[in-house]
Order: sequence, then C-alpha cells, then structure tokens
Amino acid sequence: MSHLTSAAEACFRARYPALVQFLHGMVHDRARAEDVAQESFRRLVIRGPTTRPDADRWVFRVARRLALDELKLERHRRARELEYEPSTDDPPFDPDDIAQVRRLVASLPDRPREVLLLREVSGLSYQEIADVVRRNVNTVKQDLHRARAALRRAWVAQKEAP
Amino acid sequence: MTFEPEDPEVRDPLHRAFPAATSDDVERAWGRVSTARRGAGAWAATMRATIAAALVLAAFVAGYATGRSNRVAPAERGGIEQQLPSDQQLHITVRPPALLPASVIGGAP
Repeated sequence: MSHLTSAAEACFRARYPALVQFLHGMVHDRARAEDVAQESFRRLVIRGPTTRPDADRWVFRVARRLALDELKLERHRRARELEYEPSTDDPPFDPDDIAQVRRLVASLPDRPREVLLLREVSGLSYQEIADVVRRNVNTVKQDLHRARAALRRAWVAQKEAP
Repeated sequence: MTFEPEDPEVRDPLHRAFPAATSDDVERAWGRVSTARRGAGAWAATMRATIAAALVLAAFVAGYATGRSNRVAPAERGGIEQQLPSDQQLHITVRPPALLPASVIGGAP
C-alpha cells in the first residue's frame, strides 16, 4: 500500500497546483476549484491508476468532468453566458487587470477555454490535452487557436487604444 | 508531463489571473486528501470484515440445514424408525469383492 500512496502523493505534489489553476479558470471560483481538485485526488488515491503518468492524466480527466458538471449546475441556476464577441464598446483589455482577464476567460466557450487553460496555465502538451479531453490532437489545436485568437483580439484592442 | 511554453503573451496574464497554489496550500490539501484515503481504507476494512462474517454465517446456516435434512425423520413423523420393530437387530454382511482371491482376505483356500 505504501508504494501506491507514494505514487499518489508524488502525483499530488507535482500536479495539484496546476490542477487548481486549471479548475479556477473553469469554475471561476478559487475555493470551488480547490474542492474539485481535492475530490479528484481523493478519487485517485481510492481507485485511480497507481503509476505515473497514467495517474496524472486520470486525475485531470476526472477533474475536468467534475468541473463540467459544476458548470452545468451553475448554468441551470442562471442564464447561459454569451460567447465572447469583442466590440468597440468594450474597455481596452489590460492584461494586468486580473479581474478583466478572468472575465475574458470565463466568456470563452467551454471547449476552447479548457484547452487554453490546460495548455497555457497547467502546461500540458498537445498529446496530454488530447488524452484528458478525449479529442484528437488536431481538434485540440483548433480549439486552442480559437481561444488564443479571442484573447489576442482583446490584446490588440488594448495595444491600439490611445 | 512536459511544460512547453508557447505563447508568453497569453500565458503570463493567465498565470497572474489564476495563480498556482502555494506550498502551504498544497500541504493543507494533501492532509485532507490523505485523511480521506485513510477513511476510505477503514471503510473498506469494515466492509471486508462484514462480508467475511456474512459468509461464515451463511456457511453455518447451510451446514445446519443440510445436517437436519440428512437426519432420520423422527418416529412421530412417520419416518423410518417407525417401520422397524424396536427389538430387531440390524445385520450387515460384508462380502469380499469377487475379484480378490480368498487367500488375500484370509479366507479358506
């Protein structure tokens, strides 16, 4: 049992911070992100893979599914967010304004948002992201391209602002 | 897993907006997760003990029921004891197998 624990613990210590970052971007709330991350690791130590890197991918998959379930519940409670479409009425995007960055990320559709977070925040490779979200690598790249394009549009708008 | 920085212009604002957990956060969270694991282990041990006890009980009940069905039925229920006179003796004759020579079993040549 001890080697199982040590593998789970090693996975936890290596991946927990990045997983919380990913979930923070998904569920828009730090405390909920931590709860979901801990629940994912709790499931890992009880019935997940006992070797790495399988455990790493497994825990990201479980966390993603839990986050999507959380979002579904949240959207039942309130109207669905509109897909982000930058307009001239938007204030210029300031990458130092944390709240604005979070709002912008939250306004992205789920698919590109999760890929963007897994890539840019959690640091997973394309192949690892494909394993986590169960899409092929090319689709992952397309989703990532869409998400980056949305962010860049805002970024460019900020740069061109007087 | 490998970290492949690709687009710092996008990545840096995201890292500021969604900061990583501190080492204290990690330690606290691991405390909760490992406690849950021990709880789950204790629950699994309890379940194993319960199942083992249930199996022993089932085996005992099954053995008891089998033992009862193999008994000779009591006389008042019309069992075999009623059909035998109380003073009758049971004679059992054991015959040697036909293929064995009589010398083997100590009989007359």
